[in-house]
Amino acid sequence: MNNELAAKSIGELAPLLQSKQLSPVELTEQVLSNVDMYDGEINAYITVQKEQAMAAATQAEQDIQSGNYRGALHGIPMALKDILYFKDEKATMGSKIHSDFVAGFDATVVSKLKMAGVTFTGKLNMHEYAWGATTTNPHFGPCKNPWDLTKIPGGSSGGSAAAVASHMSIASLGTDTGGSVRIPASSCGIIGLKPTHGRISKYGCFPLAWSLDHIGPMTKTVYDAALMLELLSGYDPKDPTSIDRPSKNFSGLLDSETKNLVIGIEENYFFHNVDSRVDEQVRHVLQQLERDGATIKPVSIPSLKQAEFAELVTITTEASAVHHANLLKSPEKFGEDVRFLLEVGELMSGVDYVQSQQIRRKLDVEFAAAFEQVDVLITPTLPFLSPPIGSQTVDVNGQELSFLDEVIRFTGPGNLTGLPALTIPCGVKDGLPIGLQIMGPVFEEEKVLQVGALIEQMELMKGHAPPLG
Amino acid sequence: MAFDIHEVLERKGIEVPEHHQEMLKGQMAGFEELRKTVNQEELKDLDMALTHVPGGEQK
Repeated sequence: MNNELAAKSIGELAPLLQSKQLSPVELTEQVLSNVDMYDGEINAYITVQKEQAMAAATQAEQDIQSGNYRGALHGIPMALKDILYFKDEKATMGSKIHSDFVAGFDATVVSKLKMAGVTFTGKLNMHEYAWGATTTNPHFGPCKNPWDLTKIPGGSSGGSAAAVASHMSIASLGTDTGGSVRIPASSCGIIGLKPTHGRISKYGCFPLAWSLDHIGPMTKTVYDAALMLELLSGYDPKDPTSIDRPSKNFSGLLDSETKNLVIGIEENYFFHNVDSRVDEQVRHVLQQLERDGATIKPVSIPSLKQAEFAELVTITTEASAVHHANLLKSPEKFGEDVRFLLEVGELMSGVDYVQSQQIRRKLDVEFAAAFEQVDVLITPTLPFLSPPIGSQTVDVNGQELSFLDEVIRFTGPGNLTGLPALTIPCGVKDGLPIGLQIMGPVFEEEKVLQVGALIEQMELMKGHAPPLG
Repeated sequence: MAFDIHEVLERKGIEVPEHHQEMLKGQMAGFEELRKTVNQEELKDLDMALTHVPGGEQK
């Protein structure tokens, strides 16, 4: 099978499509052919929309041929997480309860991608209601990691990450409430960007926890993430958490120099209890950046020690409020793990919730102070390598720790503060990719993208790819 | 713990499977440990990161 076209990034494909050297029909056929070949095992898709995709690709071809090229995403085949609404189409949220739910309108992000001429190939697997990080979905089957089919792809946007990593979608979107874009992106060796809270509208995205939810691009390159961010950004009065800040030309702001860069590291929190293989790889990147002229500066964010409390209370409480009526009415229709977490959320008190919001305020202030001293913070994205499917624990340097407790330790602070954060693959150990997280100041996504681009230039993933086929 | 977890949920009308009861106890014991990380004295001086926009969302 010729995988070459489907393995390319948007940045590589767009000029070929624009110049008519490549037909959107041929590209879509290749992506769908990969779905035929790999998805039987990987299970990244909940629904494949072949006929619809080929019709859209044919239309894109006609538009481009007649001189109506709409921009970099025109004719790009893409599948999205099955939590985003498409008018008159099913959105299951990976659940049994919503298995026949048909959305009455397009999500704002879907509407923007439609306007940009994206060819939609289907809906992607996810952790049920995005409430978990394994994508071991009890209703649609477990999604598997393309790097090792015995391992989880991370979650909750596991289908999105697995599809991009196995060239069954050129790029995708995920949602991120505690790390659900960055965790699977890290686990599957791709780029995942959680923008500033309020930057991308969430209208038409089924909520997990309103104050923590974000939508973000999942891509093969930093440039693709920047392209998608600039398209999807912008104020939306339909989303009460949307913030009125103009979008930026992010893809044109990627050039930067390492020599004046000041990188912060918070050793006490972000480098505590980390798998030595992950720690070693992230520190290797830091050393390389320092050799290239960056300054590495230790910073202190004392309230991070309270972040796990605040994240646990906020996410469980808000999620239980979303699902309260269904937990009363038909609890047996939830998967075992989601039902359990919804019960946990019902046990939190109002005081716990308000105190968690006070801690968030403190974190906002401390992160802002840190970003007065440094341009970005670098951390591992996850403290461990992907565990086997079905495992409730992770091995961190010989200690058996709870997966649930560990999985959002490094990504959760980005949700509590709403700060932009990007994960980028920085190497492979024992056949599994390792992600490095770059956090930046509020509404300065260009900084995390610029540092991501510098790390991408190190070519740390060269020669590494999932063993497909 | 000063209250019975099962009872609290049942009072809300939530049916809890028997095998969840021990798991919930374990989870909430872990939560009590996390609560110890919260500096109550410090919280007295803090505002909260939760806002309400009078008039609701913009049209």
